[in-house]
Amino acid sequence: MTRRRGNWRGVAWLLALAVAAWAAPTGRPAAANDLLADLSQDRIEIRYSFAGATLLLFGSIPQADLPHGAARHLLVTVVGPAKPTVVRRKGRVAGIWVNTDAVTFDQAPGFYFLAATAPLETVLDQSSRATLGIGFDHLPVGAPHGPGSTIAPDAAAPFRNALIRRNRAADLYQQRIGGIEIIDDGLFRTDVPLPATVPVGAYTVTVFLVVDGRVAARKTIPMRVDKSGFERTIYTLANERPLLYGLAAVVIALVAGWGAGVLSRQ
Amino acid sequence: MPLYLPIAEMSMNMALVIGLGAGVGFLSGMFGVGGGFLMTPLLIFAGVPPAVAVATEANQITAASVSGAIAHGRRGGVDYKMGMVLVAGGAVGSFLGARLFTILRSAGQVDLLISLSYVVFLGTIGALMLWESVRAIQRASRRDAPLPRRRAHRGIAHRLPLRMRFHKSKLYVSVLAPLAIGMLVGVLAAIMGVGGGFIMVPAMIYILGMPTNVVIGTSLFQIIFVTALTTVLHSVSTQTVDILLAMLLLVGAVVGAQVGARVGMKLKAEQLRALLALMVLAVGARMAYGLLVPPADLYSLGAVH
Repeated sequence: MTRRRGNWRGVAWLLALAVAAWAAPTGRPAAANDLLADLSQDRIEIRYSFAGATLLLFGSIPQADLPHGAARHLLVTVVGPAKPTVVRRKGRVAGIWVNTDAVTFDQAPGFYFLAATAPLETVLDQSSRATLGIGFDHLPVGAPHGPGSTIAPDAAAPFRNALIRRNRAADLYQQRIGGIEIIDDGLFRTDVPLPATVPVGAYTVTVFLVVDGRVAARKTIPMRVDKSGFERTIYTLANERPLLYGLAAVVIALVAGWGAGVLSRQ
Repeated sequence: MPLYLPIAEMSMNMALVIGLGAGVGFLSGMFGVGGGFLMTPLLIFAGVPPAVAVATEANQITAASVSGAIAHGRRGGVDYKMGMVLVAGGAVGSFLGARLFTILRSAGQVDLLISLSYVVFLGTIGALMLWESVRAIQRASRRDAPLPRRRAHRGIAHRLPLRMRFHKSKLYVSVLAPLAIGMLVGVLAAIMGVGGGFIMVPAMIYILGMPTNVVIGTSLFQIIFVTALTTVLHSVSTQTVDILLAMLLLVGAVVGAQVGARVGMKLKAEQLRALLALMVLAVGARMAYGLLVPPADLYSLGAVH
């Protein structure tokens, strides 16, 4: 339901932008010089029926001031809240598989989505991608450290790769080359699928307009993912009032168990 | 219908959760056991984080044990004095178990602790039960064989110091024995998400020598208090109790247990015990398989606690 409403809002926006572009084809309205973008929802609510969501990002590319024949590309990133994440490696100890090594990354984003209109190498050169943190190779995940001390990047590399591989397998990290739809030479849209396990917190959506290998404009939109309603009450209580939550869980269990017994005897 | 579980932080099919509760409820009603030793592994196999499965199952067992304990209490099937001693031991055990659980969770070894506990305890108990029930089935076919002695009159419980009188059980035994049994059960409740009846009931009969008519009621009495304490301890130290998941499992379990109890009455006791033993061994073997087979990916991710 929420998703459908979101998409309609996106369609309405695209229509409005299209009308604006058609109404002023020769003039130079300020809006046409800016990179415009918006989201179908700036807040995703996780309710009891949440099984993932699709976020729609849409906008328009400025038409004016671009050298004729210049290579224009778009990049979209969606970065979720960073949190310390530990990557563990199993080894065989006495015949059984046990976690033997662990490396913690301080600032691993809980969600990372990247869409581009063309392969990343054609859009931006290596050093620009590194500076902007674009692509899995350059994704900032924080300094690696072991149980006591910091770890050399070489030793941490397999763990960093595993962090990205495991998150990609869970759809928490995604990369979509060609995942941006350009409509009518000025309007664009992209779908951002959020899996059911998407972490709560503050997200940043960034659209980069890249012209001839240089970032010509960028637009940043904040977004939030929150638990709401009953799910939020439970989660908040469990984390902020754990003793009360535990006691409530016991009381509910006692009452429910007693009630179930009475009902089943009848 | 998908259902988002607020503490497990995952989406599960609601019919699957209730069906899981009903299936385990059916088996527990049929065999007269709590079912925690089945439910916790099944939740883990279904993708629930092991720490959440254990803590949530402790909460579900509290609920599942209430009506049974009330029924046994009404007809005098609970030795409250013995129950309180078992609870006291269980409280200490639950506290120690929850501490160990929390420490190993931050060390990334809690899944190993859970799996190993299951392999060791279910393997041992399952093998003993199977052996005992196969012998019972053989005895039943040779009617002339003498019945085994059920009570240990001069066991370790009588030789230890600090003896105490338990009128209801007609016992004069060392208080240390029930304290130790209760404590072991408390540790298991905290690290395995089980009530521990499968250890406590045989221990009460064979080690303490309690009469069988008060064994089930007294063990349920202990289980309610110890699993309730375990729920609170896990809530405070690891925030892994999912009330929603626990209550949905309970809905299925209540219905399943009614049906299971009716089916169970049609089977012979020793056959039931043999079936239960095979099931216990199967769960233990599945846990062992998970430890022995090389994982598809050697690496795994975890939050920092």
